[in-house]
Amino acid sequence: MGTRQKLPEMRSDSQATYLPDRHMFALWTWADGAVGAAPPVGDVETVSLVVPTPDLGGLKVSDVDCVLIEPDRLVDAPLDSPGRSVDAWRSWIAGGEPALPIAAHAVPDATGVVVTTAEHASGVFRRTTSVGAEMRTALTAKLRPYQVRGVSWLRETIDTHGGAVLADEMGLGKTLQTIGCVAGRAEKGPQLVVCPTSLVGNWAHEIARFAPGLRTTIWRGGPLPAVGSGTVVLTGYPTLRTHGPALAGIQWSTAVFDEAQALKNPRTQVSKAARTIAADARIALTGTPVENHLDELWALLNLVAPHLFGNRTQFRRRFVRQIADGSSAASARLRGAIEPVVLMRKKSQVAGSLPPKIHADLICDLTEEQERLYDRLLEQVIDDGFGSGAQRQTRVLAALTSLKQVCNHPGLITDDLGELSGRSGKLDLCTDIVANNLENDSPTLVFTQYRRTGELLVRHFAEQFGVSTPFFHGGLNQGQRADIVRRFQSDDGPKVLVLSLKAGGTGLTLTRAADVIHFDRWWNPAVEAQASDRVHRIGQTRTVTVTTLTTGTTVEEHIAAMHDRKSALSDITDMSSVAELTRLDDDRLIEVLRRKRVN
Amino acid sequence: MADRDYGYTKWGKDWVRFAESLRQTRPDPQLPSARRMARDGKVQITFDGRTVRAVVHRGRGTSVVTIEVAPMSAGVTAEISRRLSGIQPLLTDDLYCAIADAGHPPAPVLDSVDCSCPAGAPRCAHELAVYYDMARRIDDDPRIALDVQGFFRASAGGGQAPAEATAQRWIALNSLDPAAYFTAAE
Repeated sequence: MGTRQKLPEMRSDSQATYLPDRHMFALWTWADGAVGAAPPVGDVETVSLVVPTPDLGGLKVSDVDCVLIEPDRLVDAPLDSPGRSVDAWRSWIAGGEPALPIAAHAVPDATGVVVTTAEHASGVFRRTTSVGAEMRTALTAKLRPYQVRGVSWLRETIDTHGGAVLADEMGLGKTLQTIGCVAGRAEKGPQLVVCPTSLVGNWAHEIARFAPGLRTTIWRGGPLPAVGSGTVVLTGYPTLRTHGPALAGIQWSTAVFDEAQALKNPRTQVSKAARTIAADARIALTGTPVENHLDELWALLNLVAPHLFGNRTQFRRRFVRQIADGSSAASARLRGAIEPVVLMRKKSQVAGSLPPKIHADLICDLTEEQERLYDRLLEQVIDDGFGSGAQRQTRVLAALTSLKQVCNHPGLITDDLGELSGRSGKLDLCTDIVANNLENDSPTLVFTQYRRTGELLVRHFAEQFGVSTPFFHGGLNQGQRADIVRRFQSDDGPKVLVLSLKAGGTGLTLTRAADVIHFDRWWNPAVEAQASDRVHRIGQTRTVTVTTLTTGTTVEEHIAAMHDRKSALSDITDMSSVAELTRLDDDRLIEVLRRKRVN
Repeated sequence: MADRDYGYTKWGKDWVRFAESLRQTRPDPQLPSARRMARDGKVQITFDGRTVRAVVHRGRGTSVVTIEVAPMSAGVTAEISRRLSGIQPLLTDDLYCAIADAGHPPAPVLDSVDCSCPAGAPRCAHELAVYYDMARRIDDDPRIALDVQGFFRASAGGGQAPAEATAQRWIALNSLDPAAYFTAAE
């Protein structure tokens, strides 16, 4: 670089810019009148920031190489010659309130003509920090910084606009952030969560786990139980559609609509019922990229903030038509316009505060058909008796297998495999997740233990999405297997791959996918982990999301519970758990297999 | 009959009104071609503070229209700031009506209009085309309606900002002082 002059603008300073949406700091350097290399304290990411023009006479929006770190780490981050922005934020973290230079809040909006103000940046920082302290006692889980911001954002947005759309990518913890917000509003009156029927149990489970102070009531129609402050009523969209009027008589402090794309058509009965719910605050949650479905987006905006986005024709004229014509200016404008009520973050944006692997353990509910079949099968098994000795082991295994198949899909037992949708809570939930991943262009691996379940999944994905899904199973020869792997790893390969846990669980490298679903539970957590590692290998650059589907109240919950106890052990053999069950006496064995009634 | 392609928001409508004045009683034969010029992208507008500069192509000729917009009155600025405090400018029609009902209509006032065309007459087709193009741009992004009246500069300009405008969400890029980029202004 030659001789370095001692001019004030010719320095190499570290800068810290606060990113309000993520509650993180972007660290970057300014050297010799230009943006320099990111400081060597983490993975480099590109962030759009406002920086001085080369002549230092103006400001422009530019892509800057940054390292993103959490507020806790800014204090100790080893930075060379920290600039004023770093010092100022360190002082804010320590409780001071010094004036912020522009570099400290230089985040532009989507249109690139306006910049976050210092007041906004410092206000968000202060409020989010205090929400973080509050959440440490309110929730039993430790929130990541962007999740704390999610909670503080929900509060601010509800206070200003009465509603909010949280559209974080799947796996970032929308449910947890919402529970954080709901827990803070418990005193204000009863609250309502509407979600797909198959997720009602999962909400109850997560609320009990993260906010044990809240009372949950699952409502499936009929007279509504008395509800008061601190109560959260959980219900499914079908119940809302058919029994909606019963909910309309109550003033809810909060109404949450999970997987709110269910309300995408404002003319349907269920959307009309949703709009009649009287709530001080409405929160819509969705993981689908809302920008790709503008009419759907309008429906959500109209649900949560009708006073801002009430006019559909105007919305279409301003955004929908022009974006359809390929105007990138219009889509930037749209992002700017929805920014006050829509928070939308991607895994790649918050990767710095994510572990390399996210686990999402979802509890799904049985449909009525599954409940009836499960109970009938179990009665049958009990009537037949389990026998003793070697026979006992065989019979227990057979009983387990058929019960687990009911959880996967009732048609696997009854052989009634005509229409597949709407009959298995698990299949419906899995379909939603795959649909989401297809939207996001995220290839997905689905593992199952059963050949017939795998075939059923392949058929269902073809019917639902018109995609052809290869099935990697033990019946294929070496050439066929290699061919599936090669095709899947190519850029235009299949979007979904179904694998049998045993055949596909080891050895393969399938890093084109970063999303894994375990459709059923295996006794040994190490086997599932090994299967998940097909995508979490060298060459994987994204955060891996591992979703397990467990059917609530059934034997699958027992298996999942065993995972928690065992995950420390690695050398247990697969069948030892079944053997363990075999050794139980009949009463205790039946206790394990029987459905646990909830509520 | 008003052309609903231009001015379908109240913010944009103000600019259509410059072309289609309510006082006007006879149809203006220049309006259809002015609308066509705006629609066909013959108008290229650049902003410099409260100055709107537009290059208008018509046939083989090119004219430059310069419009000076008067600064927004302190009353309107305060009224809008009050209603936008703490949030991003969400300029809905409802907000427009609320501001107007409060006695502070945000419609712009033009200080001067000049066109380089030889006709030299007021209300030439170029000038009308610029009004329509402004209406179109403002329908797309109503913030332009405020920006061109100097709203963001006035409300960001320290001393003049109304005290109750707490924690404004955004500030216009071109109203920031590059000299204060690395060191906070005291």
